[in-house]
Amino acid sequence: MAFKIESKLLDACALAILSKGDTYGYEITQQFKQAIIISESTLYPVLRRLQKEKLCMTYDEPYQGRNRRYYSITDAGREQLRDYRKQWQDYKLAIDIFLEEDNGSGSRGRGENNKNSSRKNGGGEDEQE
Amino acid sequence: MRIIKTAAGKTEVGKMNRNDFIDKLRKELAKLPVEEREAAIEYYEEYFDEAGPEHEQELIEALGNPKRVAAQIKSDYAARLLEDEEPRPVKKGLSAAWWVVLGICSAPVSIPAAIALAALAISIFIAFAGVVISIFAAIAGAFIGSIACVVMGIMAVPVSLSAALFLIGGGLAALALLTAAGIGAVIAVKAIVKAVVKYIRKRGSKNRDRKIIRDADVEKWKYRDPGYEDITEDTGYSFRADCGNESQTGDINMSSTDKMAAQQYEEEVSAAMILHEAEGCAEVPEAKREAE
Repeated sequence: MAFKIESKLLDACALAILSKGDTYGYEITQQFKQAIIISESTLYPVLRRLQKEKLCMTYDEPYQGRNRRYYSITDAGREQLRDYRKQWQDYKLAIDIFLEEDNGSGSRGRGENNKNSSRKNGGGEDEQE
Repeated sequence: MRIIKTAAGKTEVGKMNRNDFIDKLRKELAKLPVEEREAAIEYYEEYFDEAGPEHEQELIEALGNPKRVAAQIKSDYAARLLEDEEPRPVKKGLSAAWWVVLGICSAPVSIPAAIALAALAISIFIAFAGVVISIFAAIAGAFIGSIACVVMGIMAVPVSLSAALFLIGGGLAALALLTAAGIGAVIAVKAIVKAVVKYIRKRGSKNRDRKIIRDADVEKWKYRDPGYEDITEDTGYSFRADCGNESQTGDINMSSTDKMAAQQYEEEVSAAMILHEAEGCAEVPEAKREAE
């Protein structure tokens, strides 16, 4: 019953994290885990894909006698992120059309909720008339 | 980590260390190109380093079955391969139609030509086989001849010692040379066959890539443990704690699943809220419902 996170959405989230600064695989996973419950193995394919699509690149930096692989967003990656952000807005709006409409039409006696919904749906209904 | 299902539906989790995990992962990724495989191994080696030895067991349990980790990597690789190939099918589709037309029109010529080509290929093969067989036959014949020479030399000892010695010496020298020639011929034939096979394999490497794609498809179905029911077929990601679930299923039974489901729902709602907030969404339907 959980919503599945589509892989492009993971790409977008990873790019968003990288856009705030270079970081490494473990850290990115931890950041993801703050908000979404993902498995530890989910992120590697995402990062690999971004790297192969040249949306990010990697460089190694020594850390405590070993190498740490940092991921860094590229210009193409930033561009892609902008595009993803736009598309996410569209997507969110599209889904909201269904989910919020349902809330409004459902006469479950939740006064405040209905008020909220009708206010929100006002624009849409005007258009229909 | 091994998941052994018992009759009672419980799962038992055997201990596995970091090296076991990496080894198994490497084995599971054996079919991938070296570069892809090593990149994945490096990533997970670093991941273990970052987690630190004190969290090693925890991480191994969270990562779960190396097969599943490998399946994610392989299916992503397969998807990338497919993406690379994607522009082609359109062109291929077009040219395929042309090929059909061309094929029909040129049938009177092309069918005999195809037969001729096949015949040529077969005849080349037969010629090669003939040459190989004749070389070996010649060597074998000469070998027998030189043995006969030696035997004759031995028989000639009472008649003429010098002639006998000449025959025996000549025969033995010929035997040595022929043995060397025989070994050389075997090595040469082996090398030629190997080269031909390699060439054919190289041409078939595209098929191998396709096979990886097919395998990855199959594995998506194969490695779905009961604990992973909710994993999507196409991505394998979900809001649910698919990793935590497995590691904690050590003593799951029917009575606690409901509790877990309820807990999971709460987690999902809060995760969704956080996600919405992170994306700058002011209104979260779930949040409102919860509040009222």
